[in-house]
Amino acid sequence: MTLDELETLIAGHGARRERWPDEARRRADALIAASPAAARLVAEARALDGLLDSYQVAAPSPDLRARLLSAAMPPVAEVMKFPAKTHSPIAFSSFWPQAAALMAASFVGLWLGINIVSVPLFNEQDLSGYVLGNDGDVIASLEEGQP
Amino acid sequence: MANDADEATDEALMGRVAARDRAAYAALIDRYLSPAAAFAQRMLGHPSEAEDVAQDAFIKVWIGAATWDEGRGKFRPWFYRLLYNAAIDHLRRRLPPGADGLDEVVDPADCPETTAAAALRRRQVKGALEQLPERQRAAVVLCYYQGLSNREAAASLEIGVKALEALLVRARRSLAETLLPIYEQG
Repeated sequence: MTLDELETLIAGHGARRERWPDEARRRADALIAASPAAARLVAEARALDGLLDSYQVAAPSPDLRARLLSAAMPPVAEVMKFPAKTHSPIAFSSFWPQAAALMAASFVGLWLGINIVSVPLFNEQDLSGYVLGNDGDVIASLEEGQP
Repeated sequence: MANDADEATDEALMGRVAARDRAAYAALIDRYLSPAAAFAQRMLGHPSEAEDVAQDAFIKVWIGAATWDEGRGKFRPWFYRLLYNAAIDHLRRRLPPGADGLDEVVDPADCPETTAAAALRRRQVKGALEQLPERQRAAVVLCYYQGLSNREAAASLEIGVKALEALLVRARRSLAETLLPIYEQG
């Protein structure tokens, strides 16, 4: 084993010998025994592992599990499936009349909404010949013969 | 008596999740929620962001289970790939430092450390990890902290084992260069 191979071994498995694969450990031990540079490499790697171990992180919040489970609903595609047997003539025959009726009702509602809102409540032209009171009621006519 | 979901393999649980078995999904959550949050926290440096990433990944597990194909590999590297991609997406969307309050110091009560020296050391290691390029950081977190084999970590990052080893060597050299002088100071 070379120094580079030892460095790769440590990078992949850490500096603890017990984590190294058996065959690699035997070869690494031989190198470490024979090479001060290899022994230094392992010592530095152990020191680095000790520092890395000091970076502990917070546990996830207790409600995260519950949030994940509550979010686990069937996908929208499954809930909103089109009528299950749309390929069946029977399903077509029962679906399309209902859909057409719904669309027609929607158009009628839309038309009424537009037209009712746009129709004036009274025509000011028609009241031009009358005297109106404060409350808007007709109290006299400017034309003869009218109340 | 142990629940059968506790003894099932990850892949068997995924097969059941595909059939919308919420108990199997809960078992996967119990196995992987803490490691997922830890991975994301070491990638992003902030607990609440880490929870968002873990949540994103688990939702993808639930949704993606329908198309899960056991033949394409093990669950664990696949799941860490989801986590890694979610973490990278999060990093890309991040606001400039300070704009979102995420550069605040983590509440020491969230961490097991009790001494100021330990807290300082933790911040130094965290800072050194954050200085690494994303893929090097991911390689170290997956192999060293999460305990994935080189093969699993390589699959998670969608690279070859040799490329993963090169990332690990470069990452550890950088970390040693930054951190060992601090260690030598005592």
